Amino acid sequence: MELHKLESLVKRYDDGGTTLEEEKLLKKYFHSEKVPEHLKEYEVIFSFSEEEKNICHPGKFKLKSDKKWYAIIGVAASILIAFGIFTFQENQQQNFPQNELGTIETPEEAYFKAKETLQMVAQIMNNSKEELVYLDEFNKTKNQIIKIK
Amino acid sequence: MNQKTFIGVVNPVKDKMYRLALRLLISKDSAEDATQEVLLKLWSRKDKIKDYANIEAFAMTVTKNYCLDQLKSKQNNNLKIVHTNYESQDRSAFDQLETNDRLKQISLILETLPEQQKLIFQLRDIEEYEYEEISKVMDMNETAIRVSLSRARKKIRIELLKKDSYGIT
Repeated sequence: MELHKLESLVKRYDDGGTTLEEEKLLKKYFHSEKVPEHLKEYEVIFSFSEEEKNICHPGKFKLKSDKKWYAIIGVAASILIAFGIFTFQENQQQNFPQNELGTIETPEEAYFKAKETLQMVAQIMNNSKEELVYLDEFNKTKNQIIKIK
Repeated sequence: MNQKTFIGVVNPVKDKMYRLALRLLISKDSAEDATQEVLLKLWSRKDKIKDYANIEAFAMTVTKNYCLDQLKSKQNNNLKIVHTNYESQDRSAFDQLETNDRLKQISLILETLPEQQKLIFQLRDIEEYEYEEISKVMDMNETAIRVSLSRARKKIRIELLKKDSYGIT
């Protein structure tokens, strides 16, 4: 390409007046031939355009987003867990009164039952209290060292 | 339209969308995310896609709008990515004359251009679109596009010359 032709082409390129074919011609020219000193920067610009064209999208794209599914699964799981806890608690509340309470019907029976239970507790308490005799031994030794009386 | 035909239609455009997103968003990760999002959007509207005469132009328009939205929301969150710390790089002596560095300089200059000029430069000089296609994507008339493109081209060259003269002195 002659210099004056090149220069007018470059001028038109700057003004946005070149067609795609002319621009391709320019790219080819600056890519292959020796470029005059005063047009050096066009060489960089055009090789930049060529280089940039080679950038590719890395990897594959997914059409269905996984995130959506994760969200749905998460919500479903939390509902299940909440539901499970509620029913479990409700069952427990129902089991307790049914099996453990309400078997005694008359007040007299209740009175004797209560008395019996308290007696039993008292007996156990007394038994345990007897065991405390050993503590006296400790007191004896203590009294030998520290004389309070 | 099933998945296979959709991928077939979209595949040739995918890279262009990615490059456009990369030009605007700069970060590779955000550009990848943007492409992915836009493709999902297109996929969800696949039934309407037949109505759009030019799928490529439509895909590019959606990508452009999505990226501009992203930039806007980033600005609102005060998370704007500013790459102004490049000045110090080109002080180093002769390395900068390497072509690779020069190419980097151009992308840095491009970053300073307004979004509209970035987009038009990308579409015309890199993707080699006809003005008619660009006017569809940008929703502008051809004259305005030529003016904007001319500004972008001149700006790039002038900035490049400036950097050169700084390098020499």
